Amino acid sequence: MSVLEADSVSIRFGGVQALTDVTVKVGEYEIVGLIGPNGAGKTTIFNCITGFYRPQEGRIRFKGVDVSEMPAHERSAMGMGRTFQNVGLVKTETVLENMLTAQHASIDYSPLAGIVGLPQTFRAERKLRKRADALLEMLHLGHLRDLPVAGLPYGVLKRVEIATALATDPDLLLLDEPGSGLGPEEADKLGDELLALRDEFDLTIVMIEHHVPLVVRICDYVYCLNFGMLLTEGLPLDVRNHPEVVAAYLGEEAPEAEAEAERLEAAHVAAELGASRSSRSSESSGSGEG
Amino acid sequence: MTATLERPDTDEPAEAARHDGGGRFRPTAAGWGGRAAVGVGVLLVALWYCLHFSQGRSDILASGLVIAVGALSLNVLVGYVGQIARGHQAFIGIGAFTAAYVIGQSGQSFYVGLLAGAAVGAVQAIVLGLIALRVRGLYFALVTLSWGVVAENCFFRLKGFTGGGAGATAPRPGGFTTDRAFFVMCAIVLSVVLLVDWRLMSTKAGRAFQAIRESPAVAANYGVNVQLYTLYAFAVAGTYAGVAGALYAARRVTIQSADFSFASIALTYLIVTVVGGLRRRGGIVLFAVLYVLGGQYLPGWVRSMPIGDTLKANAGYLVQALSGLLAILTLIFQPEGLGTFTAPLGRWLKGGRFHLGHGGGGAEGINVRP
Repeated sequence: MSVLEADSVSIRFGGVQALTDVTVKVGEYEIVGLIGPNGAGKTTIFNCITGFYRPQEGRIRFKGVDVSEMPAHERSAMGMGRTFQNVGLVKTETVLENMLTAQHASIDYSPLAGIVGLPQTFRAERKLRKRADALLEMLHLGHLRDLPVAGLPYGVLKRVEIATALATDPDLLLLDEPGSGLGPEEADKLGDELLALRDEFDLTIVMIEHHVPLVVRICDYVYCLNFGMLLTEGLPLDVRNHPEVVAAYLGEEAPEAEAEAERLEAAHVAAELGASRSSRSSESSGSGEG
Repeated sequence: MTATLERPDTDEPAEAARHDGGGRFRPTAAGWGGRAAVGVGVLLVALWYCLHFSQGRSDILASGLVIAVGALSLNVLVGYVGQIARGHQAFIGIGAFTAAYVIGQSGQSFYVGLLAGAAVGAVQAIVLGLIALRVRGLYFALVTLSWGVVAENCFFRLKGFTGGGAGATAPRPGGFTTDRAFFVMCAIVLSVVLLVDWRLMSTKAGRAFQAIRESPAVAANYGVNVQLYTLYAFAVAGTYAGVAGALYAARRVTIQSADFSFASIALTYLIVTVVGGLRRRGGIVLFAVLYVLGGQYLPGWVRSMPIGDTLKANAGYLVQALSGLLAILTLIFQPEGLGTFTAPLGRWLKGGRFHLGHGGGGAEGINVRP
């Protein structure tokens, strides 16, 4: 059955048609890729799915329930975990505090009980900490536990964000460019890790990703968006070799798919280097402080 | 089960960092002993100081503690959820006049008045919170500014409620009628507010506030009901303010609408909150006390200095101008205010390492907002 179903979603902002009749279906335990050039509407469909935008047309169904009218925090509590393109963490807090905040929906004491200091709140807080620590250890982030988020390099933040998304106890994980800023080798490792997380937590994963080799390797199914419309969908290799997909990325016809894919990757790496030079330099200078 | 998640080549730096102390630091028994000694010492010195001053100075210090409670209320809005509130004379005044009405005109006890002030303070704050959900930033600051002016010029002049120009009276509770005894009362109430604030920020609601301030989108993504918790923060701020108002009324015994002006309440409390340090309880309380002591004793001290007669005659204004300058300099060079000094001490007493670096509350660092 489909865990997630975005059915003919259309949304416009003023005069800009951001999404037109986009349908995305995601089955249980699938890893689905969402690719497309910049401005194609990938993050917009994420925002519609997670409840930050209300599409003018179309419905969103999650675990068989129509959640189209449900606010974002309720969708999160229902089991949608999400990361943001530019890292969605509370930067004034430490990594641990973020992990605790992310478990908000699972806390069963009332805010008033917390103020009064009922014994059950202390028990619950201890449980939260234990779970946060276990998750951090599992993702090899335990050493960052007490560091403020604000000082951490970009690549590390991306990983911390996946940890906080897991802390919300999701069934569906929506990752917005988890591999941005990573080199080919690191992207490979991220792929292994996502596959392991899927098995460990029984996750369904949807990810926006520009790193085509990563998408091809771990995704079961791929959707390609362009100008707010579905360009094509299908198995990863079929989508990658689809002439229109190649044209959409490079703006020209593709004579030979394999070579094009390599060029695509090279272009991507160059773009990433350019876009994240500052964050990467801070990463290399900050990696020693741990 | 975690074996599948191993990333062998990253283990080395992680391991090194762990031994380096980046992770969990626990003080030794001697370390705990030292912390306890310092903590008890500070308390004893404070107690000794409190027992050795005159009735007059008790009253001044009591007014400082009242300001501390009011500033902690602003701290919830400005510091925790990041709403720029500029009309706190309404928050404090409504609490004060409600308490005075309940105590003076209805003849109830001070404690009933305190609770009534807190309750009415919370209700008016929630109404303002409903507006805050619709307008943000500068526009919300304007709304609160107007709310303060409306309260100042309208509500506080209703003869039936505030006694008009003659003012309202709120007699102090039995056993706490002297200035020194009432100082103790203020200290007890402030302690309770501090305790509540600490528990608030250590649990569910406090973490939700922090997330809402940094990014409502991230908060919602973490499962926080942003609207509900924003209102909740307003309710807490209104409760603190109502309590501060009730204390204010009983300390002065007679209060008038003119006492609750923008300059004397809203601006003063905001300066105390910001210079004391946003989200820094200790700094706020410390600066509230320093603020009133400075206002009381600095003009006399300035007059004793070898300066010209013109300056001596205007010593009061000179001190005000200098404290304004001090506030500006603080904001430029120490954005965390006095919290820069109190926060490391607090962290150390709680069993952390002593380091002067900020605990994650500073403004620097890369922008990680979505």
